[in-house]
Amino acid sequence: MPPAIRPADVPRIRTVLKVYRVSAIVTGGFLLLLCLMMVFRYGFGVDIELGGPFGFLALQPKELIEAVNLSTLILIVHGWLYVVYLGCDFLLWRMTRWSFGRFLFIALGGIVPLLSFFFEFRVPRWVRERVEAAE
Amino acid sequence: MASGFWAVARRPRWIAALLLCLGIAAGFAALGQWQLERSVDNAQVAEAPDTEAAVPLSSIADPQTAVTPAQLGRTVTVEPGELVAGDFVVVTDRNNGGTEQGAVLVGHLVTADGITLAVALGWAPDAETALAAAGTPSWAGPVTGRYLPSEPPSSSDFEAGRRSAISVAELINIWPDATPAYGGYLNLESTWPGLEPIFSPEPDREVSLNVLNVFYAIEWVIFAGFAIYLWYRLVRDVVEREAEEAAVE
Repeated sequence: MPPAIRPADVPRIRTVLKVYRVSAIVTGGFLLLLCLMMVFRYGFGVDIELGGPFGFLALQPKELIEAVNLSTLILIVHGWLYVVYLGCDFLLWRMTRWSFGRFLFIALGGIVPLLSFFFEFRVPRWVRERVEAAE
Repeated sequence: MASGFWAVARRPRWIAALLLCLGIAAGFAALGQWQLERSVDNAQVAEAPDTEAAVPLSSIADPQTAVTPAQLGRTVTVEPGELVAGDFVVVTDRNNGGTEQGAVLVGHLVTADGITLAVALGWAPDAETALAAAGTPSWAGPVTGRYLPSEPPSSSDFEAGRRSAISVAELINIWPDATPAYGGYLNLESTWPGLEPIFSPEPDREVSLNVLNVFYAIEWVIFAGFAIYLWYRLVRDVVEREAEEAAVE
């Protein structure tokens, strides 16, 4: 039986949980875009160009891109979103005092495609169990 | 009796965990260093040669090849053979470092080795003046200038019957006997009679840090610190749990 959560943490847990759910959806969405971009970059040798001479979105070899390289942008944005996602995961783990394994499992949500969408509805249930156990 | 922090931390299990965390932190630090190296590597495409010290063109470039980044903008000397008399070409819509559009006179130089090299001889405010300056040079000894890449010709110019790019490929088609030829052209350094010397600045060598890689390097250092903190937190958890259990008993 893990140690009980502190009653004072419950409002904070709810706030972090809200941020976590949003970040799970946004990070998960960008992870799918990242997969798409990886297929283009390493499968077909092209990046996605935004607002270049060949239309709003165009596929171009990386060296020939003049406007915004959307592929690299996706890579960077996903990286920082994942940092936010991990931060929420860490705070939830600290306050709900669930196992370290679960912390690592939730962390996988930013790396394994679609997993974070599952966590988006599963994690609130885990949190509720812990909060109810405390009350 | 609950154990203190160090009593728990000294247990073999948590020493092993600490070693693991230190290993991970070292790995993260190495990744950070790699990012830092990349941030400098990306900035320098090649070992930048001194573009201002004159070297013989034949020692750095081969005919029939495009200009490489290492050759671009270098000051070179060429042993002249002759400028082909009928092959002068005027290229228009050229500014000379200012805002005024003028014309550049381009000559067909055949080097002492028999290789064609396009040479931009000088600039004039209008095409007539530029063309009037065509003639036989009084060159004694090697000719010095900056070696620049061929410019892409534009199709709109072609349709309008103009020529505004110094395109070696295009010039070779105009000149009756022009092979083999160097892939770039020469901006003549000395003053050609009747023309202004061509504005020929030292090429920009951008040496800027890649900020993105620097940020990633910082991120890895933070992650490395976090790995150590995680170990500390996990040990604290055990200490607190044992304290709570002791209190219950």
